[in-house]
Amino acid sequence: MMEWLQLLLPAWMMGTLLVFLTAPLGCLMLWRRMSFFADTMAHGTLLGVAIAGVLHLPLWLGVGCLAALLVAILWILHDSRLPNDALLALCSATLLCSGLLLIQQLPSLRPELLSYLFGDLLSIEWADLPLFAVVIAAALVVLYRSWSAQIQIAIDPDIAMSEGVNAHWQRLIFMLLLALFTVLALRAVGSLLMGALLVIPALSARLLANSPKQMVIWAFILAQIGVTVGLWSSAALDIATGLSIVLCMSLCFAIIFMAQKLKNRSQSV
Amino acid sequence: MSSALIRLENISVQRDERDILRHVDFALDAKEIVTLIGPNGAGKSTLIKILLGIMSPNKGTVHFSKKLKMAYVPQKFNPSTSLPLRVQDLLDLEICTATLREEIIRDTGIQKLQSSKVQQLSGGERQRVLLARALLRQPDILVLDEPMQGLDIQSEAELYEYVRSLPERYGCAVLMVSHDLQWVMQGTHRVVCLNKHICCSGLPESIQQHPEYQAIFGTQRMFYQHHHNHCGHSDHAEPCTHDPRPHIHPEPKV
Repeated sequence: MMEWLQLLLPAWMMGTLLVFLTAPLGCLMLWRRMSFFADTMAHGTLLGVAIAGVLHLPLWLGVGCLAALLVAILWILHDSRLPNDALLALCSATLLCSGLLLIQQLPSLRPELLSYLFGDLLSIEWADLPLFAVVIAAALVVLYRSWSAQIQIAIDPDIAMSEGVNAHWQRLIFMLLLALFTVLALRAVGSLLMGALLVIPALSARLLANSPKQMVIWAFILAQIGVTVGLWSSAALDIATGLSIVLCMSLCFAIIFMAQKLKNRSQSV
Repeated sequence: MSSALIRLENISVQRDERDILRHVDFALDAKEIVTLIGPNGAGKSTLIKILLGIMSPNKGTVHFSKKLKMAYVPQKFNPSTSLPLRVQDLLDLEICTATLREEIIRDTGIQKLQSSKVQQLSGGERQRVLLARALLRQPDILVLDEPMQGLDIQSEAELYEYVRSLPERYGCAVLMVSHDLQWVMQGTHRVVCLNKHICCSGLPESIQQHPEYQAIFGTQRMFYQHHHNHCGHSDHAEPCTHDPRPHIHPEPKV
């Protein structure tokens, strides 16, 4: 039992810390209709890892370069004939494929491929945690300071801009925070699943919330449940942590959704 | 001209090689009510967006007399339904005293909408809520882009009366886009007629004589009609406290 705890406790702490960021960020992502962007960014991290491997850069720098590259690509690709979400799907697939291809060519990274795709929360050690906590706290300070501006833009960009909110600047802040999240979440849940970590708790929270603040709180609670139950069940059932966390969050969503439908039906009968 | 709150000088806007605005000069004084009229596609909304700083012009400059507080009631307002937002949450974003908040909520007739979801409001209710939100900011300039949409005739008349009282009560200048010539003639201090360029501008009475105005709106004359004691009507569903100051009655329950 103690050995289990030694293994699971740092992983659980890490997941818990991460949720402080995913809850508000995931809600903002839904409100600003940017879930495709988050997904693209998440899939792009794989190429970021590969770039870092090729150029012998630290991982975060590789992913950071990739994020900058993605923003630049989207800027250039802007064309009123092409819908934005489809362009993002294009970028997402392209980045994922080139990332996979490059990693397969690198002997040093190939064995790690699966953990980059699906994450390996259990590889987290106590020594990793302080830096994590500091980075997340810093990100939360940034998020807190731009929160009302972000909400104003989500409500109506024109009104927000006319009343002194710099929409471009706020958009950049949001993208940078997302990029930071992808760096942090890569080890925990991997490139393919980190989008789910943002979107599923936020979606479930939307079903329960009546105000923006409530939605963030619900997203936080539900993500916390997902991480905790997912992690322990992964140990008990011996399955990959990333998968069990995501499935656990999906289960929460399904339960809330069904419960609301049943309640509505019983009320209307 | 030196007393102007904001002054737009020689503004030109092109989009996709099309002229939207050509050499427009425009100024707004403190506590002035100005109405912008013009046919569809005349660039009214564009001019407003430049004044508000949402768009920047291809040519020309915008001068501010000081750091101005703007408030904007847009023509379209469709926040994402993924954002759970009640009217009270929207109003909470503006910081002001409780007395002012209460007064504005009462005068715009939205007391009963406080816990309604913003996305589910009717057209008229939405206009009231947006107007209230804008006023809570205590702006120097209030910009209204066709605020009468979705209002019934009764509320529309009350809204005009209310807007007309705003410069006196809250010290703001009002710039309004309107198709409603009735309002133009009875509510405004100055009318600006826009059709990519400024066709003419001046007092409501004199502008009707202008050939360019007549070319767009015809020669039909509108007369000033002012209703006193507007709470006197008895057909309204909601009882009124008979506040002597202009206000808009809440929408009757259906």
